[in-house]
Amino acid sequence: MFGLGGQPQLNSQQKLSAAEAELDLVTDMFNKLVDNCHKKCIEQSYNDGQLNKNESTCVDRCVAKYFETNVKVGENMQQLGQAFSPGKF
Amino acid sequence: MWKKLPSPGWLAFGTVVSAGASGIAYDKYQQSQTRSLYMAHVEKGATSPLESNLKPRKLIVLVAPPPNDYLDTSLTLWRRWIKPILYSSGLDYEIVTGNKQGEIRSEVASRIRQLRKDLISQEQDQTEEKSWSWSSWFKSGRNTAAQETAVEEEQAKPSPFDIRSVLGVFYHNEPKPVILEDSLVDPSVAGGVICVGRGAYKEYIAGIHEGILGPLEEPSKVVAAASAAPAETVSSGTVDSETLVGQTPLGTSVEASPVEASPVEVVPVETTAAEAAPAEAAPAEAAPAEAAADEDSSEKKKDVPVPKAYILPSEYSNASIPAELSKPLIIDPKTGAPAFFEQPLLVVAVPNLSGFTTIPTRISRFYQKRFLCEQVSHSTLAAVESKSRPFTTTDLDLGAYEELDWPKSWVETGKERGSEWVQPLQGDDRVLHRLRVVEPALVPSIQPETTKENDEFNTEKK
Repeated sequence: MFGLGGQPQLNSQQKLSAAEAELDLVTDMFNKLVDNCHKKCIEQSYNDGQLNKNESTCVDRCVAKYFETNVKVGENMQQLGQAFSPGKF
Repeated sequence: MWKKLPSPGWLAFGTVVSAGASGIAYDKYQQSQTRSLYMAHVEKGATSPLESNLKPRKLIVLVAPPPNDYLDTSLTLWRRWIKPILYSSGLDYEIVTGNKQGEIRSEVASRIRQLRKDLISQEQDQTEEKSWSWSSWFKSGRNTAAQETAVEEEQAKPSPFDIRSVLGVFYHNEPKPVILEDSLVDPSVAGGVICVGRGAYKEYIAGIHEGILGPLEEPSKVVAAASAAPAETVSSGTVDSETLVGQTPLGTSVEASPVEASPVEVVPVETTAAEAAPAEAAPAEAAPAEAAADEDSSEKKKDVPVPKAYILPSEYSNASIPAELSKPLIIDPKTGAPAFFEQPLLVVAVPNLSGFTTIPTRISRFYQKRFLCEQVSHSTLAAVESKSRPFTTTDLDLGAYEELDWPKSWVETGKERGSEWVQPLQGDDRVLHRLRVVEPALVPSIQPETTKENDEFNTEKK
């Protein structure tokens, strides 16, 4: 991040804000993930309170695909960032 | 009134076209009826509840293209007739495809070698736990109490920042360990393997033998073949190793030539389950030299040879069953379920004729696909219901009638080159007695019977 070799020294305030940012990111991703997979996988008829097998496997696959997409898009973004502005990253 | 009809030529044209079209329409209608019937029959599986920490029963599907044809031909059969029934029954599946000869074999064999390594490390862990001596206890005896409290204190200290302690789902619920349904049921009904295509079946059997009877490490001849100087690309066209559906027809691979391009291919594995996706797509097998790494970047888009078999069929009788696989039932340590080669096996042949002189046969087959659909669906139903029996030696001929469809020229070229698929299927009894085979005859037909008594138009009353 700073372009130096070693790990940057953060004081407790910066650590706290980094942790808050990370929490925000993860919560945001979790919420989006739950919303998307719920819309796509779970039948709206609500005959039963428990998930059935199809919904269960659908949710598994949905989560896997979401994370893979996330990772791939992130990698592509990184490459784009490096290609256009090698100094910034 | 006869002047209202069109001319005889037009009538003939209309008859031929409408006969052809209605034949297709009727056949497709019957296929969709069959599909709906079988899907409705197994529907209860999909709508049955599943706890959040359980994973449903999982099948492995091996798909190989028919000779001289594209992978899409086999995949179409799978998608139209087998997949809907599996989906409606609620069980999970994982697809392994192979574009070239030997890909499925090497994938299956590498999975068995991985299983063996897991079993060996599991046994080592167990023996380490058991190997506890009085001398070691006396040496550490005085300090155990102090050590334990120190360890406990370290564990009791909160970790710097754990998201799971504040995130909603885990705030109140302890995450339960994930269990596979396959580990809870009787081993004879757990999981399953479906081979779509006679070639897939042959490679599966060869892969099992290679994995079980073959060595764990690459023998020198395989390493030598992989690191030899790169040769000209042999197969037609370029194969992108990342594509999952083959863009080129399956040709006979040049297995006999010792000089091949160097880096080992990343096997295209299409998975539909969560945990398999990242692990299997990532690593290529270790190519020996730096020369391989240099050529890897330039040859990524070119043909990469399939790794040679670690053991040949002629050497099966000399090889011995390894110690870790000598138990009567092998449980995969990672999943808790029986190893995939102990699971019931179904072979679905892919009839695929090609050529000019076969056109009349092909036309008649085209109009009678509904019978093939019924047969494949019935076999799939037997696989879903796990009606299986132990393997017998005649089962090596499962799906052999597909070989009657294989083009003669392709088979002859294959025999000259020593290709895998044209070799007679050999098996070792020590390995084969572990297998189970799905038996469709154990499942009664679910097509509605039209008996003479039910038939309204039958005048012969008994």
